[in-house]
Amino acid sequence: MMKYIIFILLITVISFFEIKALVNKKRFKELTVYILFTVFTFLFGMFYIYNPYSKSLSSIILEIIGIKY
Amino acid sequence: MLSKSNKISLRQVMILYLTSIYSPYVRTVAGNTVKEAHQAAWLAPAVSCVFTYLIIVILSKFYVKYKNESFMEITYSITGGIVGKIIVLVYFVWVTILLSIYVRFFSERLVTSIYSDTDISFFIISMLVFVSFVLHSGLVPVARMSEVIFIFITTIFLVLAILLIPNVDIDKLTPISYLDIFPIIKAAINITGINIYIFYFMMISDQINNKEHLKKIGLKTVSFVAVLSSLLIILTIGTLGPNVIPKLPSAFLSAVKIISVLGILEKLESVLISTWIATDFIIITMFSLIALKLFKSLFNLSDEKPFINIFILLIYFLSLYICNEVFELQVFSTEFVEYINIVLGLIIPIILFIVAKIRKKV
Repeated sequence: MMKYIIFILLITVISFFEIKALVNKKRFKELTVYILFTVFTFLFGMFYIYNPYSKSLSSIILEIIGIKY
Repeated sequence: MLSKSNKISLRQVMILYLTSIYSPYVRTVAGNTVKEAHQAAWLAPAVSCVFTYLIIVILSKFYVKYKNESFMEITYSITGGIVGKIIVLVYFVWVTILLSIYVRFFSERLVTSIYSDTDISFFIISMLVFVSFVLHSGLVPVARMSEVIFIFITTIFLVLAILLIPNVDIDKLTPISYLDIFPIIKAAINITGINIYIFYFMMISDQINNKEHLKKIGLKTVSFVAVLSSLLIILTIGTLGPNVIPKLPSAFLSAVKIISVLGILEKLESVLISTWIATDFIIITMFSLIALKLFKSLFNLSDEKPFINIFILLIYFLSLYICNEVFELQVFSTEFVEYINIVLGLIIPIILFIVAKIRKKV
């Protein structure tokens, strides 16, 4: 639970200052991309924290290309 | 003057490249090449040098016409918008994966060699916070730091090499016959997977000056890499023998552990590990910078700096998700990463060059 709270706080703090700066500069195109990228990072972070011992990226790729180790 | 325009010279790029490849070289090259070519592995860097120089020649042909453009802009010009965007997306994904691999290798190395009781996240966070801080300053400070680190690592490496020479047994490096030609080529392909990082570094060509000297400076750099990497392999094989090396996780480190000068100067592996940390910092920073530039180009952004912190946060999770154990990462690195590096760093640029020739773009 603590990991979730720290992660949500961290991503909120980081994105708050960047979004504020982008709004002040009226760079709305960057803002849209930034929000989408933040959402992606948030979902990926949540996915990892929820199950840190899931199959790793390298084991998935090695399995797909048929390499046993 | 260059620093004001946030540009660096070609010489600085080559130093960044040499500093960056030091860590993967010391960690894997001796083991991987000996696995393929046994006692003849020390000849593989010379063959790999040819492949690396080929990519340098192709890049220099691009820069004759595209003097101030980045690789991304060159790609859009050659292939057109949509195909160009797909190519840049592939490079962005790949450089991001490479980056997370190096972050994980850096932290795993510290945990397995010195700090076995420390949580791996501690080292990942420490490195990424520092990298994020430096990325905000831009490319020029990184280039200057690498110049200092380069002198440091070269001196350390040469001192270690001199101290290792008395342990080298020439008989372990021979015999070599014509039967070794194909194993040497296979080993050279293995090394080329690292050498072609030069291509990734040249992607930010809009921030590099004096590109007209690329062939000349590139040849010097490639020759330097070939000589020092041959020396590294000779010292490792000559000290440990070709039969032992493939079984070791880091052969050169094991060779350095043997160094003993009059029983006083010993345990020099800690010096080698300190050079790894310094060079890992450069390669992680450079790959972060290149990934952010690719991202900027992909979405036509005016500045990549607002994305630094959130990108670094993504890399933290990706470096944890990339593997569950270091052995898995080593297999992934040798069986998959090196080949994809050759496809993206050598074959795709060759295809781009052929397309550019057909469409009279170069």
